[in-house]
Amino acid sequence: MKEITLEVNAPLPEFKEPPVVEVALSVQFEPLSRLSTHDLALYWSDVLERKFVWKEGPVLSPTFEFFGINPPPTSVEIVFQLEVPPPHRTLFFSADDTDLVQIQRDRFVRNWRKANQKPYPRYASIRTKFREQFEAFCRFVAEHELGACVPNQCEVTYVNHIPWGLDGQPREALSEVLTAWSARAANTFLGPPEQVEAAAHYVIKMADDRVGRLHVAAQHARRPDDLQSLMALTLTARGRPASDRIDDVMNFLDLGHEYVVRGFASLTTPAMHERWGRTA
Amino acid sequence: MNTACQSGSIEILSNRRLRPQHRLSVTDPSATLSGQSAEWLSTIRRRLQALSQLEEGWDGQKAKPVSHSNIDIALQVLLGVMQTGTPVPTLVPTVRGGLQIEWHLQDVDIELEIESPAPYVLSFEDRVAHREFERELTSDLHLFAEAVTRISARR
Repeated sequence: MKEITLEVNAPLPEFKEPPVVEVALSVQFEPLSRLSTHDLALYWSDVLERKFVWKEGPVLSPTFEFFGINPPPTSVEIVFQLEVPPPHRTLFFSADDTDLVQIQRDRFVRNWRKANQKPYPRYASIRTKFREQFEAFCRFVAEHELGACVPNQCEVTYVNHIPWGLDGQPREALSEVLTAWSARAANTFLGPPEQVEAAAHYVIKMADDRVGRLHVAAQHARRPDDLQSLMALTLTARGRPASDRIDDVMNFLDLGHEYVVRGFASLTTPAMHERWGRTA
Repeated sequence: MNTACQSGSIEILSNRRLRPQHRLSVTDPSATLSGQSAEWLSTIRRRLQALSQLEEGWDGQKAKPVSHSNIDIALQVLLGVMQTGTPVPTLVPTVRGGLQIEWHLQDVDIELEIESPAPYVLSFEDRVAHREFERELTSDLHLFAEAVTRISARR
């Protein structure tokens, strides 16, 4: 099946200087139980040509989007020791720390991070690199008889850092940044909030089918370099591809990207759009 | 800053370097009565743990171990459908590395076969209402939730 071109009613919103600081494209697949540290060393050597710095991190839990049932309570955390040796996540950082490839037995992730004032390379470029590297990983898995990459979920994450006043100085009201946040209160008893954390979740549809969710989180934070106070606005679109084929994985990522971009434009105010140089 | 619940704990480089504004104390749910885990959860946790330990050939032949993703799916699905009054289901491994969530009650049988990737197969029989069906489900599990609600309401 070929990749489809999504039908949209209007062109995607575009900004000359979007506040995006990081993009992560991820695919989750059926566990490759035979994938070992030795294999990852070969992957690092042969596929990544030793150009990345190798680190290890804790394994990510599998995540699935379901509908028609209650979302799991956030307080429940269950960890199973499933295999010996315990699975882990390997992180390959580029020398300039702007690119990251993450691999574990059931996940492949590629991140881009803004650095040195370099402009956002745009989704199309990030997408192309993700596809090339994921296909190379799947070929590696097949050639080394480690199983097959059978995707079951994929996701697109955009992290935006929106400067939000300087420490000790008054900030704009959050309602002047986020459209979904009302500044209204029943009375003036509390005054403006000292801090804000907010989350919202939206359904992603393809035709009439619910295929995933857009998760939005806003949190007040501070950049350590210059103590800039900011609002970290993270949008994650996650869901199930129509099949386990790479074309359908890319189709979902494209749909997720569309939800992220349109969702971002919908959740932020026209005044902010003007600041970021909205062109479409 | 942790965006785990939103992004599935993907390593976010930008956030790693951020200093979150001091997170103000919000009561830990486990310290409240309403935040206590349901009793069924500890039973299910033990059963899933046991299933996760099965090795290849556990049936004396060529059965596959129950895969990590199937166990996670089963737990997520149960957390989404179990209610007060729902009987604790039986969890049965399948030879292809999946598992079945089953209730076999006096009047109703429910089986959900989980073998990722989907479809998951739901079998339902209600001998009182004379209703029986088998369906393949993917992301939308409302039929399964309705079936579980039926047996929860009867108790």
